[in-house]
Amino acid sequence: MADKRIEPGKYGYMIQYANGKDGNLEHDLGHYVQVLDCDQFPSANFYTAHWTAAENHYQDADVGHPPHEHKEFELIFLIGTDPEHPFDLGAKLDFSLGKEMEHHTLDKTCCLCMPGGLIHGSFIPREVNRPYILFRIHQAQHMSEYPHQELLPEEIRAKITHPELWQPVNWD
Amino acid sequence: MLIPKIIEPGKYGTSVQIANGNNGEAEAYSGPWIQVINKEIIRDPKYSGINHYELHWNLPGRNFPDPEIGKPPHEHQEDEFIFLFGADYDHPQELNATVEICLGEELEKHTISHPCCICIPAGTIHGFYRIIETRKPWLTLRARQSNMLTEHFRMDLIPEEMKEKYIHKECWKDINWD
Repeated sequence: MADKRIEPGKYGYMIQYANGKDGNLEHDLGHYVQVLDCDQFPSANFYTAHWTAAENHYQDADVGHPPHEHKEFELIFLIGTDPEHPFDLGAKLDFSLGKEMEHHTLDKTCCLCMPGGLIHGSFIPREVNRPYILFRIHQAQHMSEYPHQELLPEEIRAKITHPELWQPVNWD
Repeated sequence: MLIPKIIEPGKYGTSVQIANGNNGEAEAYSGPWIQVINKEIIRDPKYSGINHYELHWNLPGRNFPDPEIGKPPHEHQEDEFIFLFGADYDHPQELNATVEICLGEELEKHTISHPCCICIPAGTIHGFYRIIETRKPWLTLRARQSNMLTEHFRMDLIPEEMKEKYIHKECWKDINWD
């Protein structure tokens, strides 16, 4: 666990130092950089940044993050980390959009922009030639999520061995 | 020379915005633009609720036009969150840079040399935002929690002795501010 640095001064609370996710520095896909939400700063939306590396993968690597939707707008920046080639992601991912699960291959630095209610996923890192940064934003103070694993073909659904990871969050 | 925009095909292709700098513009002051996202760039009513986001590199040897001033004091009508993070996978908790920012009307000075988010409530004056040193490339992601960008510079807060260092006045203009 990493200690959180505290910035002194009347306005020091406005500088929130990164310490992963409440001190936990390891995400399934790579190192955490920072998770910031309204528990740390009252008006903040939900922001999370972590690395993705070749040696890391989701617990069910062939499934990735299965199809789901949010009530709020979500953005995912996939950021290549070679400043000489800023638009090269250095990795390849499979990503699906809509109920039709329209397939997209991602290999460039990009931002995935999902209005609330748009089903997206599975999100599956396939190749990582150079670690990249994933910066995810939910335009709400509390993120919500509703899984749609019923959209997956039966043979893929059978590979979900950690269903506890993909449960509704803040969804009535 | 603008960077061409690559359009992702498909019914849902709009949701995959491939980076092309700041709407085609390649260079920010302190390093290459990676991407700017807002409702002006995604011109589709289904995406009109998207906030404004800016992402760019900061490279050694690069800086603001007036490095001793940086970005002068200013305020916004919306909350702003400025994430500063390093790009060295082996040392994810290193920024590899030192920046300075002054906060509040008192211009309380803060020196930052670790990854963080500077959280600026609407109406709070901030700047001079200066890059003191960049040892290795690092990244800035600026999120404005509104789909309408505003900015108002407070040049009245620049002390007399600094005014002669403030040369590139054309760089800092009010945006959507009556």
